[in-house]
Amino acid sequence: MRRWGALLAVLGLGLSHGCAQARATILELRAQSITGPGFSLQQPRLRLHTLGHGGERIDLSSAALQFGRHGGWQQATFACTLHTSGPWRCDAGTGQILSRAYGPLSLHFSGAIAALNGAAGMQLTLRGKRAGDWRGQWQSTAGGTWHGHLQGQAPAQTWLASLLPPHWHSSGTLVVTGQAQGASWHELSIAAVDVEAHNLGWQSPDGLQAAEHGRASLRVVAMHATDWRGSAVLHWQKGALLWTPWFAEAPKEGPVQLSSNWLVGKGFWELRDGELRWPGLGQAGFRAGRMGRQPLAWSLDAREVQMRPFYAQWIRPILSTGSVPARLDAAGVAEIALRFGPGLRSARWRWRDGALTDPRGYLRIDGISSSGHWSATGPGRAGLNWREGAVYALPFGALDGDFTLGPHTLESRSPMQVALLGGSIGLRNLRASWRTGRLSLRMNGALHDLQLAPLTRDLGWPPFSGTLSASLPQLAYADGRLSTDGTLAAQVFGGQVEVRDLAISHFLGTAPVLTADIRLHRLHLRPMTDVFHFGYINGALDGYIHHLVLLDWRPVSFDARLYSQREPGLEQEISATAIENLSRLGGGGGIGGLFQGLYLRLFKTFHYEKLGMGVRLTDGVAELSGIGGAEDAEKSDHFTLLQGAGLPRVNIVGYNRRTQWSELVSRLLAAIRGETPIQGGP
Amino acid sequence: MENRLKTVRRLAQSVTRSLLGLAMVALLSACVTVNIYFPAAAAQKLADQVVEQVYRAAEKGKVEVHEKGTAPAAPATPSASGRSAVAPAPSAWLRPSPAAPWWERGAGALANTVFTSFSGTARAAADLNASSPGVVAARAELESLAAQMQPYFVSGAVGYTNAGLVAVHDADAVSLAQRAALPGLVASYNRALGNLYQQIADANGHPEWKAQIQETFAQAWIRKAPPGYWYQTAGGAWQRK
Repeated sequence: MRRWGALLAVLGLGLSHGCAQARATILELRAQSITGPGFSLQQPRLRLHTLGHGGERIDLSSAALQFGRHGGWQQATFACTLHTSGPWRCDAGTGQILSRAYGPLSLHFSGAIAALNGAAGMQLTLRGKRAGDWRGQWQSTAGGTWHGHLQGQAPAQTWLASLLPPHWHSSGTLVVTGQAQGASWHELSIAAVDVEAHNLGWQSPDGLQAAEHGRASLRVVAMHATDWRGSAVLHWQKGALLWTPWFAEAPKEGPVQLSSNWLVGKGFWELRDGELRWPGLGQAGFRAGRMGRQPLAWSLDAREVQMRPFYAQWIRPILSTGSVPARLDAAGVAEIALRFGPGLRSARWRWRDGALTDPRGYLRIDGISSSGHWSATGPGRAGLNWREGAVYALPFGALDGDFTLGPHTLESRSPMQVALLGGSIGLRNLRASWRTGRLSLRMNGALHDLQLAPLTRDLGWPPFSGTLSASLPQLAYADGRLSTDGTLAAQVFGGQVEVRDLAISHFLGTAPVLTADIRLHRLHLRPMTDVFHFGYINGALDGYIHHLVLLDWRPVSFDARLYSQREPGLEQEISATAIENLSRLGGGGGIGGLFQGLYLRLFKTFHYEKLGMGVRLTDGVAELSGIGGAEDAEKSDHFTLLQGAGLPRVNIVGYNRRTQWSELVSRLLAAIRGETPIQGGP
Repeated sequence: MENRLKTVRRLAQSVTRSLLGLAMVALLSACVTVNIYFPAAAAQKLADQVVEQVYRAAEKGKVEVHEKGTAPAAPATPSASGRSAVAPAPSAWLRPSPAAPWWERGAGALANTVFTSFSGTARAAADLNASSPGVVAARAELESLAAQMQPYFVSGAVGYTNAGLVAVHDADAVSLAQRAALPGLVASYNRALGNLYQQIADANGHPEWKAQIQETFAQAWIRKAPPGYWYQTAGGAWQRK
């Protein structure tokens, strides 16, 4: 009584009690508003019309209703036949109500109230185009306890509208079964709801967040004591989910299962003991919570994560399209622990039996194992090991790396050594940074005794031996560009080749661009010409290749000059074959004249004073020069490739200074293979 | 004495007129360089070539690295005289006919000097270089991405904007699986397009030409687009080709 007395506010009451007929009585109650625990009625009207035979017709209407926090119910009318002889009973009840969320609804209900002890019961069916079809039962005792059962199905659109942002479309059907009980009629103590979603879908206006053909089931159990707590289990069985850039399909191996205990209190909520099982991918524990207006904090502890699907499905989408990491395939098994709130706060991982493979064949790393921890606020540590790998066609050996991690940096703690081409590459002071969102990397180190024989074999070149050693004051990688600062020196053919300012843009990309300056010192021509089958030449060679640019590993421009350098104790000799090949390289069609041919066949070798050739490549055109260099060649209509010495003497003089680069290459290859080149336009 | 003064005055006037005349010639020559500063016709020709190549690569789903001398659009053939046709043809400014009278040759040389001194870039501007390693690498990168973009263009999920870039037109036109990669692919493709325009401008010694090159390409992408492709009109409305 106290509650009703306190909460019932009758602002206006009109009572009309007329006796139109002796046996028919109409009682009508009107109020401006009625407010009770958890509900309010605006302009309610109750009309009782006695029908005789112990029955009355009862009509109840209200302009607006509100239950709990849910308003938007309008133009409600209910009517039923009330039997008051014996326990009160309301039969053949009908009703109409307009819901802002669910549209017009029609109801059918019947109920009974035990007149003496206050027990009551009600059956309800509710139908609406947007609300769906629902059947419910409710029973209460005189003590106020009650229990209810609800079953029905509805378009998903109606129920998801309040969960999804405005203007999102949704589709599908929800089938719901619920049971609840309470200690008093307006208090819910325990409830269990099972929801099955069929052909569920939704889509954002731009189409970049969507789901389709979804089938899932959700069971939520809720209990109320001082706060609300319970459990929830979700099974995702079928369909596809898009949350750009991530896309996932329900696995064929079985449903994805997400379960958690939950707690909702005043100003906070929490998910505890969460468990995610994703067949084919792995499983993870999780928890999440939010206290007041603090940012959402959540954590994930994933176990037995299969790296192949995990990398493809969850890592690759966030990498830049077309970049090298975005096209790698990963393998192995990992354990990953992540803490968020806000943003990534810490990470801990262990990756074993790992591998990274580029489908284009540019990069392969096998036997990877890595473990470590990273924090957004303090230092972390990581270890990285691999067994072997290959970059382009070059195999490399094992790595054992130990690193210090900062929030946006990685630094090596000790020098590293990787076996390469029979020698090794030493790496020191490696430092990587991703502060600006782009990875940059710097280190220094050295190449120790790399053997050129396996290099030439792996690259498919004619085999030759030699070693490559270099100090690398700085090796840097940023924005797909690998650059070196220092000189790479190779000991080859008894001399030395130095490479300076080596840089590769679009490294491991579609069209890598290599730039470098090269110097040659005292290369012995005899072993070189033996290897390349150019014909016998003895002597020493100096030279340079300045401003070398290779595009997709093919030269597009350079300024090169190779010239003989007299070496004490080294005879300067050239064979007839080499003379013929050299003359072809210089633009001639070989030794065609009868006298010249006879002369060359008569003497197998000739002494020379100077031997030299220059090539300047620009825009696919090679400008040739001889022993005098480019300046001399420009002043004259000819250039000398070979200046003979003594008797018999042979000079080679070229007249075609300009030639297509492709033509020059085909001449060189033909000379090496001992073929007669196809004559093209000079 | 007066006669001498008159003679000196006449001489001074004559010299002044001559200098004014030379100044006028220089001025007129300078105007010419402004008119051909951005080689719109060459840019359009280059844009058409590149655009056709990218569309072709997208259809084939294959990337080819086109270097100078190997690109199908610019074959070098021997001339009738037997000399290499790859030798660049001297500019008409630089090669007055030996048969022309001396004054014509002199005027040509003078104009050439003035032309060159007022705009050292004018000769470079007469043609556009698209064979630098940077341009070729940028094209290869673009063609590689174009092959991935092809189904999105064909379905109408993506179209060319009027600014020479691409944008999502109708994400709904492709499956959810394809849609996931769409924003990243569009961003990468636009980066590759921007890089191509900048590389062409850089290769020709005029980084500031990027906007004009992009504008020229914007028209070419739309003009050469296969039927069914979507594009933005000048007013920003989407239209199907």
